[in-house]
Amino acid sequence: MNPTAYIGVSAVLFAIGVFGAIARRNVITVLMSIELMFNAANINLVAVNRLMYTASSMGQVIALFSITIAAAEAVVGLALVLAIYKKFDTVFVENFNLLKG
Amino acid sequence: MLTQAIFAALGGLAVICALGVVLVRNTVHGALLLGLCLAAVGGLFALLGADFLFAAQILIYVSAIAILFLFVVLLAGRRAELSEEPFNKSALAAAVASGLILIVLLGTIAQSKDALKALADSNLFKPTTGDIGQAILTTHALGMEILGVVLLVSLMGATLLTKGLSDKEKIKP
Repeated sequence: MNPTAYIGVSAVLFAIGVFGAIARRNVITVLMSIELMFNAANINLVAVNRLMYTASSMGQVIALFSITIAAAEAVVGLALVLAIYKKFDTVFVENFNLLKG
Repeated sequence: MLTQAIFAALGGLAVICALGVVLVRNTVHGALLLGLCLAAVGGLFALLGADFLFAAQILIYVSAIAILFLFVVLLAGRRAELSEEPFNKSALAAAVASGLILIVLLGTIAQSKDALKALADSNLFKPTTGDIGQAILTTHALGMEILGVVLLVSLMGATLLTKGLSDKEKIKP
């Protein structure tokens, strides 16, 4: 199969993730959109590795590293969300204005 | 032919579920749809013959991260938020910006169609778990060790951040 199809799906997922990260008010959904963007990048890495550079599997190794980083990011992000929720009692990003001048 | 059909099903499922994640009002449904979307992406990995990454995607993303999101949604939410507007003021601008990003990306892909040719027969399955294990213990050993430290630090940081606050530290909006 052509890698173009996989890269196209990945581009669509990335654009959806960008939209969600900018437009949603709920901070948990913003984090979910960031996970969508991570996944779009992983599809790209695996598809190009598998279909165009079959001899090595370095793309998959990098994708594995990226999955691990995404897991660490999600854990810290959700812990921050919980800490902020305990402090402010809200999950809407426009209320997080502790640093506002 | 069968590969195309499976690809269309999995890709369509991933895109529809991703749209659901950013569009539905109820965040619990969003977290469940995120799990489905990540599972569909794992299916795409399996279709590409990346057996180890398929397992990692299911183990890490679907069963750990999506469930973690679900937990946090259930801990840090309340019923009254369901009746509030899910998008902020810049939703239209965000739609335009992400649409422009999508147009640029798809245009670039369409332009480089000739360079993006499948050089290998994707129906030929070759397990890559051995290769990946070899790579992360030899050529990428340093990266893997650093990742271990990153995971440890993030675990400690998460524990520290979610430790309880006393009442006088609380700020009401």
